[in-house]
Amino acid sequence: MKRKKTLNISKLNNNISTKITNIIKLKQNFKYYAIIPICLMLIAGIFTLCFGFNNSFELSEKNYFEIELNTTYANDDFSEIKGEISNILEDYEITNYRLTILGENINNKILVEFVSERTSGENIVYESIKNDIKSLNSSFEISEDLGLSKTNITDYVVNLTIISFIIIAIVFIYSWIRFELINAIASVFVLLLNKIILISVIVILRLPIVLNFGYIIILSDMLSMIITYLFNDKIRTSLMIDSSKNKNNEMLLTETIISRFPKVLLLVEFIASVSIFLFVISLFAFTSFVYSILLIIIATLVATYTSTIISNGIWCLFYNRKKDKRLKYKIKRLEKKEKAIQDKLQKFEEEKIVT
Amino acid sequence: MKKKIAKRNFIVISIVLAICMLFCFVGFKIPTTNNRFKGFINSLPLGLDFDSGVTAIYNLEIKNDDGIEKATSSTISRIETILSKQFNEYKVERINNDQIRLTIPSQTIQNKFLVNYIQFDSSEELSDEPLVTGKDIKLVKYQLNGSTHCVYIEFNAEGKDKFTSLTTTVVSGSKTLYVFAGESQLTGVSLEEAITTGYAYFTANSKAAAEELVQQIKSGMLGYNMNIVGNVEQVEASLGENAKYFAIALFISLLIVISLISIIRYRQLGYIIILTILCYFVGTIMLISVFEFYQLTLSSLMGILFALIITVWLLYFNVSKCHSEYKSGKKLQAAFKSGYRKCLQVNLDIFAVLAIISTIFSIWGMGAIKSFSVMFLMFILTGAFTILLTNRGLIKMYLFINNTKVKQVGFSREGNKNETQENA
Repeated sequence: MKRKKTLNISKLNNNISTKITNIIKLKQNFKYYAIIPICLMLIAGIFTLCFGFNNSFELSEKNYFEIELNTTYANDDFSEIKGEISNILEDYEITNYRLTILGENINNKILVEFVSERTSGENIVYESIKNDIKSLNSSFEISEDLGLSKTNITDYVVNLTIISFIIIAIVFIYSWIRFELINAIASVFVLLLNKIILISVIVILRLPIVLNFGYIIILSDMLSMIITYLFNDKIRTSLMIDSSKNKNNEMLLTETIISRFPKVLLLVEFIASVSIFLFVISLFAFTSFVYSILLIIIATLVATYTSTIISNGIWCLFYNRKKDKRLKYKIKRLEKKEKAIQDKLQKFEEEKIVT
Repeated sequence: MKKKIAKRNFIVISIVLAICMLFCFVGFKIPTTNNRFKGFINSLPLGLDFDSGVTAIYNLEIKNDDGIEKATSSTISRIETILSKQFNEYKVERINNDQIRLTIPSQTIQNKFLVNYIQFDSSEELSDEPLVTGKDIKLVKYQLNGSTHCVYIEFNAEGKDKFTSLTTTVVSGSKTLYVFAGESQLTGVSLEEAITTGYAYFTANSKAAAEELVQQIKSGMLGYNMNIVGNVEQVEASLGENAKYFAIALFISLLIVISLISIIRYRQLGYIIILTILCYFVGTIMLISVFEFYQLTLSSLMGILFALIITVWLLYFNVSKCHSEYKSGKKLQAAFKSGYRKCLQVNLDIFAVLAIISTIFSIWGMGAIKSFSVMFLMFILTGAFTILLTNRGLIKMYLFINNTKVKQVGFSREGNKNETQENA
């Protein structure tokens, strides 16, 4: 009888985990993996010096003008007018713009904001744009001069930086209490490298830096912590077992990755599937959202890399079981508990025989 | 608990859940009143991405010796500090070097959001050269004197003399000291004798009123005044009016996909997973609709989405752990019991660290970060409750109905020899 071939995601993830542990060979190749973030940072530094940051529309310096419509329009008519104004702007090679409707009823206006790449002659172009828009409807009144608007992100960046360092400190303390010092140090490195690699990748790929970048960093940090704690928990549990005494760090790590990486892959697959679905929709509906979704996918991959390779690599290289007093204390406590249970069982057996 | 009682409980839970879901989406007029129940989802406060807001441009008038750069950046920082206490997302833009555009998700721009020059006067009408202004103030803070809510204002050395002189004028004249912020009167205080101590208490009706007065006086200490250019205008939702319906449709389709995967993979257990997820989602929506300290924006939706993904993933993680326990030789009931016990530590670790990170960002974050973190925190806390209590309770009830038919939960002992066994 022929067996139906079905896609078993958990088996697929298990196979991938086994292959990954064979390929990565963490202990031998860790120095190469650690160089990757440094190289990315250097390349990003060179790109920044040569090309600067690629700011998104919200963060760029924008020119703006207002069109007073002096007529009440229905929603469908607004779309038509917006379309006509868009065509005019594109005729003058202005492609990075936004049209916003202000006001209500007869007091409504259209705010036109655009990022101009011209270095001169803007006023002449503006006069021509004004004439073309005026020709759409004579009742339109357009601002005399072009205005300039800037969004201040200095406070935002300073705020994000300070809070990030507070988070790193808290995560360090929590990881130290919950696991062990090497795990805590590895967590700190993971959180720092997340940000470095994410910013470097964005600069190298020349992706526009959006205003939502802050929460993408948080997302990446949270994901790294989830994955790191998954591995750390399994490693601590394995260390408590008697048979682990004969295993070195690399063997323990291999078992951990084979055991826990399928779960990590499942989470990454969840996030990736939802992100790809949103990405496809935003290509047709909300194009401004496209870059945010792309950043989420990149953040997920970066978090998986740092927490799987860097965090586990640091533990593998620097953890010394003999110096782990907390583990010895826990094992002693566990042995005492087991002995107490065995004694109780023995007593119970003896009483049974007597009766 | 017997099988019959367990089945009955499931039916009751399903009916209650269906009614709650109906209340989430459907609005109706409350009989015998003029009020309308909008539905829990419709009563969630929306941000600039999904709902209209207001915008206005202000000229900056500098009343001290500061340059335009310093004045504008100080004013913008101050406005952002005030707005971040009330709104998750807002826009403050610098226009043409000396103007500021404010866009907020509200129907009006209240004076308390603006930076207005503070001056103390003895008459109801503003004088062109006030005696005491914001620059004479050293310290302003909220204080509770007994049961009276007060604003404590302390003047610097120069201000102390000026204030004494002003209060002497007030006592011999109108007997009322007026405080102005810009052109509007903040408060008026009756005085019987001159104040020579260099500090004063202004009473307020409530703590909120006192704290608002404190914020306005602190803004006034900067020495700048914001004068509106034109009118406050309504601004459309940045993602369009239909974006909120699209977001609802997106979440519903996501829940449908998760439900299908759960049923295909875990069969009857999949129904328990669906019930858990629906309890989680509906319960959280009902809970957060009570609060008004947040606005739903695109960033908050991402927070909700991410919290939902983590919660669903942890549900699957726990069930797959129970499956591993079953594969190691335990019976179904014992497998669930030991599986959940072994997952508890991981679940608590993950929820603890996510709650800590999101709490800190919710309190001190700004803009999109705050939006994301506030929603994420609320959903992850209810997710923790759902996974640790609701899901376990539902599984326990289910085991009364079926604790032997393993195929009906999608468990099997195949592949046991090839996989690493997990021991504790």
